[in-house]
Amino acid sequence: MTISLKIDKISKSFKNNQILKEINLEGKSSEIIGLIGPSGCGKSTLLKILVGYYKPNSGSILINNKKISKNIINLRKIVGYTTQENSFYEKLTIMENMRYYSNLYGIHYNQQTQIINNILEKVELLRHKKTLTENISGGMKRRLDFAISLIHNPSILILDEPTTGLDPLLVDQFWNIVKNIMLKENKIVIISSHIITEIEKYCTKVAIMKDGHIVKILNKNEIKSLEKKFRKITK
Amino acid sequence: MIKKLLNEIIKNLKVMFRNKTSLSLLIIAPLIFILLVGYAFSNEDISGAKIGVISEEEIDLTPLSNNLKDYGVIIKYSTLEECQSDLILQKIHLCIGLENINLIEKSKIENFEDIPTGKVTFYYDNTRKKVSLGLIKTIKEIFGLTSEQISIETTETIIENIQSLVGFLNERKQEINEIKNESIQIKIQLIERKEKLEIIRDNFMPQYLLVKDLQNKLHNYSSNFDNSTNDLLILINDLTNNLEEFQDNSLYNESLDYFIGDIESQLSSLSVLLNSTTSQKDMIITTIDDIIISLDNIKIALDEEIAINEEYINKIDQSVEKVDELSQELDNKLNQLSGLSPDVAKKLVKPILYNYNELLENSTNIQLSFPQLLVIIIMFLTLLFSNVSTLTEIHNKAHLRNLIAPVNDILYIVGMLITSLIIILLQINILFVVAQIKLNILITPIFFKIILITILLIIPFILLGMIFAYLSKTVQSSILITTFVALLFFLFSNALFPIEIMPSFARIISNLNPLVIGEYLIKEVQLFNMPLNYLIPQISLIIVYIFILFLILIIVSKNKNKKER
Repeated sequence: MTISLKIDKISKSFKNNQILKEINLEGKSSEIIGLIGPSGCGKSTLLKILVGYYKPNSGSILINNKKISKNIINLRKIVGYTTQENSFYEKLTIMENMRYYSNLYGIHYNQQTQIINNILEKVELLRHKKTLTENISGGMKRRLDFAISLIHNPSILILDEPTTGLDPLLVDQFWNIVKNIMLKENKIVIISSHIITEIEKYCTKVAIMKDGHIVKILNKNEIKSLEKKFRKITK
Repeated sequence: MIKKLLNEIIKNLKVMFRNKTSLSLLIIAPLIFILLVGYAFSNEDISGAKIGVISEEEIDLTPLSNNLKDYGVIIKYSTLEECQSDLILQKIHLCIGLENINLIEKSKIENFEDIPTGKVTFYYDNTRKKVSLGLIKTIKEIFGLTSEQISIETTETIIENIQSLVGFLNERKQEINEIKNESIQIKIQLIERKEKLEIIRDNFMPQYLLVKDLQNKLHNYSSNFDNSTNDLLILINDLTNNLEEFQDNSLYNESLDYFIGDIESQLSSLSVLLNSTTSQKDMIITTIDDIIISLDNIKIALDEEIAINEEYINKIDQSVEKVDELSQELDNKLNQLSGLSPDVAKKLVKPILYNYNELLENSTNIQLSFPQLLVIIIMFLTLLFSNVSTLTEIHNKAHLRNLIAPVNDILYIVGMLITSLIIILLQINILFVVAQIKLNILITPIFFKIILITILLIIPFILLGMIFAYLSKTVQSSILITTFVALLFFLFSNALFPIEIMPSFARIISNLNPLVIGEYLIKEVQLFNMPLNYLIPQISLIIVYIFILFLILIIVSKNKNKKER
């Protein structure tokens, strides 16, 4: 089943500070959309609107051409979010975190074990499932955060700087997992990152943001020499 | 929804219990707290007190020291200033000034002379009013019999004397009655005598009057007789004179002389006879007069006797009447006095007897303080715990993920509310177990009631703690606000001073304080085993608080999440 996403003139401001200004972006199944821009350009805000954390002041989100931004619960059901900072409970084991979130997403108890095991196997955490998350490594934590974002089998996956703090080896490992899962399952992935090289390497589309605007959208064939283009655009 | 709520609660519990410091604090803290409180409040009397005694004179304080040995020690001061200086520095608890005092050990007091007398002045630190007044009360008791007791005993003695007097007067009253009866007997005899005299007089009077009448008549006759006799004598004299003249002039006619002589002799005899008769008549008259005089005397004597009798009778009557009056008065007084008994001594000294009957006899300090301690523990524990737990949760990195899960935010609030309730209940139950086992505070017979009240009390404080967590921007400010509010609850309660001494507005506020309501509910349930239906108004108020606070929490949390979003 394919899916389409349309971000239509989304604006967001906090008090008098306008963070996003009429953002437009489209995506479809199997696309990995990279979101790059200087710090404070509004990437995380846009991602948080997409996951239903912030409500936009204006504009709308359309999934399969249906406006969804007003029913935020429905949006949350189809969006998975890998957070910037590992967003799970350190005092729970990997399995307990997975169960907790699968319950929040309303996954039936009988299906939980199988779903969780499958995801954990994919992110290579299955053998550690009984380990307290405070005791696992940074790379494992990122994978767990990613795994949690997959628990409800979302059609759209938002990755907010998922590889920050990981060494290059772990970055590659993480991306291999992402690619394996996402591309096989026809999901839309939107990723925000400061690491231009990984965006260039793994994304099929790149949106460059500056001062709350998307100033440039680059297609797959335009992504080469991304860093140069990015510097030029954001100069 | 229930599954999700259960999921939330289980997650919260796991997170909380896996923090070793939290876990140890959750279980050990109430345990240590109640054990320490139980230990601290285990003494019923003051002990270890240091009491300064001011006396310029050389006075033997051994008896006072011996009396006070269970409560503290005596430190002697020669001036008030020295004693007060140490009182200010809290080196001692109390200063006692002794004037003209004779001290004797309590155990050696046997009679009135032994009773301590003199003037005792207490100087106490009113910043430590409770301990000072407690100490003063103890010392006053130690001084033995108080002036009131002395007065009572003295009055008892006086009344005992009055009772003896009443006994004596009762005996005398008997004698008075005997005298009265004798007087009545005399009176009866006098009446009888008087009646007899009156009969005698009645019988005597007609004869007496008759004799009197006769006397009068005799006197009249005598007078007439005397007149006639005189006339006759004059006539005889005249006749005799005439006869003598006739004889002289008749020239001695013998026959005439004879006749004249015979007549003269007869006249002379008549004259003699008349004189003799007059004398006899006079004698009769005199005799009769004498008789009459005697009769008069008899009559007078009779009248006097009767009058005297009458007077005696009247006097006896008056005396008897007076004796009766006196007797009546005496009876009344005796009746009044007979009501006096040594038991009345207390009434006389203390017309109104104050009996202090404790509602809960033989209860220890800790048992009596337990309701207040419990609500204070519940308040501080719950407010701070729910505040910190909520802060931990909303500042947890996982919270972001929770907020983007397709569930209503209220789930997290209710989840945290129930989790906090479970944890606090667990702590309170540990406290109950220790209280029951270690401090003999009865919990099991009223377990369900006290648990219900405890739950009702915990919930508003959890909600408040959560509200402050949502309202505050930083962890520090949240904990500070929570602590400040907890202190406000504490201050506007019975904890430091009774709320009855507060100004009216503060009193109204305090009466609405959940801490005060909670203390009342726990006290009624735990100490008096009051059925819950008697506590419906207070329970309803708590439920209203819960409802209002829950609404506020939802609004505050929504606002917080909205702001963050």
